[in-house]
Amino acid sequence: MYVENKKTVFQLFSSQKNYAIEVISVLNAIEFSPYGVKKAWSDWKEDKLVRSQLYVKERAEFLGPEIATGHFVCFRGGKVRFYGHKDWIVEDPDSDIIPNLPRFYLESYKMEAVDCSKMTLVYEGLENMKNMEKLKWLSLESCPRIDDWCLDRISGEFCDTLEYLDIRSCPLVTEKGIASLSKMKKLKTLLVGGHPEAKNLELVCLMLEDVLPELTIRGILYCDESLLTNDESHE
Amino acid sequence: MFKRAITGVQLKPWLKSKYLVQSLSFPVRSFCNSQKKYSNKGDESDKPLSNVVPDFQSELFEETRCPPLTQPLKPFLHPIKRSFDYLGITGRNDPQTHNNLYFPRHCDIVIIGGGIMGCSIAYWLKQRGHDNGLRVIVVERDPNYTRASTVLSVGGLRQQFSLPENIQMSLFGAEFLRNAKRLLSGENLEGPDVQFHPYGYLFLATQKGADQLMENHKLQTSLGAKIKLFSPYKLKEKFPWINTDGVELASFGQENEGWFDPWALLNGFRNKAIELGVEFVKADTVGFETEDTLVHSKPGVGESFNYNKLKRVHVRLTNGEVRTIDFSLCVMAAGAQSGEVSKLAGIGIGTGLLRKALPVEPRKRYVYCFHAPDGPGLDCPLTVDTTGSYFRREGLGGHYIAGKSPTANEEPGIANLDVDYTFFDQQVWPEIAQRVPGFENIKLKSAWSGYYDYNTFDQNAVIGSHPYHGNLMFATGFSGHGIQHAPAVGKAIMELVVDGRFIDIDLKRFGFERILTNHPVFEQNIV
Repeated sequence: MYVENKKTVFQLFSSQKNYAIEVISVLNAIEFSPYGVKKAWSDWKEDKLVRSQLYVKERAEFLGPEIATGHFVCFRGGKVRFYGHKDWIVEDPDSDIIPNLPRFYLESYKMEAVDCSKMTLVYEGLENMKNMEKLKWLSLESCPRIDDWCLDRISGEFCDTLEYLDIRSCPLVTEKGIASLSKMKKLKTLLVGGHPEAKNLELVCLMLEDVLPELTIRGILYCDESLLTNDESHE
Repeated sequence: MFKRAITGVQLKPWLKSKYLVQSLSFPVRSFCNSQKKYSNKGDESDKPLSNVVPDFQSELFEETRCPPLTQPLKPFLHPIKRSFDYLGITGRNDPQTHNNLYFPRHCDIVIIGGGIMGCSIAYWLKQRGHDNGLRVIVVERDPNYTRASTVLSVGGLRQQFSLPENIQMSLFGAEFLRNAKRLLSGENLEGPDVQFHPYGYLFLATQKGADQLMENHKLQTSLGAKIKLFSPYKLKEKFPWINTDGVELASFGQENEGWFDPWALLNGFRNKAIELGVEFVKADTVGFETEDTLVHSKPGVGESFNYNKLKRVHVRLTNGEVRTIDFSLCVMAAGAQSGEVSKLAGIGIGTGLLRKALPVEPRKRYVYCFHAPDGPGLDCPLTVDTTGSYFRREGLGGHYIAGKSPTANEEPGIANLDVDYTFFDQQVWPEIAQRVPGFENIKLKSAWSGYYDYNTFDQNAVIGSHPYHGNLMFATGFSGHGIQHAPAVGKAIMELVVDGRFIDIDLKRFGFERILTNHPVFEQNIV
């Protein structure tokens, strides 16, 4: 940095970075092992999936947050329903455009329900569902990539408005994620089930019902009725 | 006189490491006066620090002399044993080295300290230059981590800080923890399950602190953190178990805040680093060795002077033997003991740039675990009271964890890790019981203590190279919030080493220079 900065032609091609990076890259072996190739392939696929679901600011600015969410969800195989409309809006496999979904900003369209079941929704994709005013109903049934961090994001985002949440058959969800749903004060119905990683699920659900008095949790058997019938035979 | 020490130095191109150039650029910009003769045109990202120093102190311009460090050591190895060592015959079951057949005698980068910072830095460095790109050695004296701050920490993750660098590091840490299972997995290695509990952090403020809290909140939301402010009425609505007396404002982290398992993260980093080829050595650092290097100056501007370059570290193995490791770069990640270990390199016992020691020292902090049947339910976040006491839920059985940072005159002694239960009875319990009436009826179950690597200067990290010892980098002094910043700090040090500057998060304000120029960078939200 104390070399006098003479402007030569070749300086135009010199990189701003340190030259150590080139030395290190040369000394690195390219990963041709089976594990290396598999990992590179799966990393690339994961990157592709995340990038396809990133938050697009222009979409939200043009359509408004409610309709933008509708576009995001419907184009990936989900369903949405707006206030004042009875029918679900779902993509039509035969046509390019989605029927009944506006393609520009309309103030009267407010999202009431979002059904993302069986979508490969990732954490970054949930960012597209922000700033909705009155979302009441959300289903994430059988979404294979929903985990505790996603539930943290959902409970942080919809803590004031959500009344129905369905997280059945999400294999990555543990009891910590379900406990974080205690932030949602208006939650009335929660559907759980099919979480092999969740330990002490019954206890967490009981404690959750303690904290949220309006809540009913469906899908949890607090009392194993077969044990009750066996008692008589033991005595 | 000042010409001699730092200004007006031009290096011959064939002279050694780029770290030398890097190190001499920083202090010059700190101490040079308004003549812009030596402005850096090549480095637009660096703002000149010359306008930061308002008053010149004559001490700054005294010559930097590194005092004589450890005697040069050439450990004697019997030639037959040495041959066996090279052939890898006896070294196979050597407990000193983890995966190396013989004791490593040289490396590119030696990391002193194998806690969360050391392992994180080792992982990131080896990610960039794996196989033969970079040879990294981690010197850790206790692989069981009995006294390490990492494993004794409460493991909190929050974005509620007052400095943008801290907020950005926490955001990066949250993203890393979310992907930790995938990033730290390997061929025969399963990634760690960090057990993240997404329950949030709740900071309470009195009337005095409310303004600061609002300012912090603005900064945090502008950087992408999701924090919400609550008035006392709304707070009582949200958390009915809280007593809002004296609370003017509260801030609650809605997303990416909570606590996780530091052991899992440490093991994740360590195992992945070992898989990538980092060598872990079980030894205690006992000294550094320097090499005299002649630095030439441009004729007419200055005179050549002697620069003591750190070249070798002496480590003592468990059998008492002292061995040496030659290095090109050393990273000081020794946690609470960093101040002591830096003294071995002359930092604090020399003159000039070496006159100020690294102000990191161990401070003991207690954590108490108790059972409260009437305590808050599942929605209990990690609550930090206006008095500084904090508590959080632990598990599902009505257990809670609480603690408090003592005031300056109540600092406990650091000789051992014994717990003082009277501190709980007199300081912590009254305060949390006042805040949560349900804590009046509790039973103390257990407690533990650990060391904060406390930065006595401004309670913030020291990250970056030393102005004189350009090849000694610090990553220490986190004063209690290191564990959540570990992934970000590892990446920052990796960027400094490989790219020469910070790319992702700009941590220049945390450099060692602020200690010499006496410009503290305070963090308002220390727990």
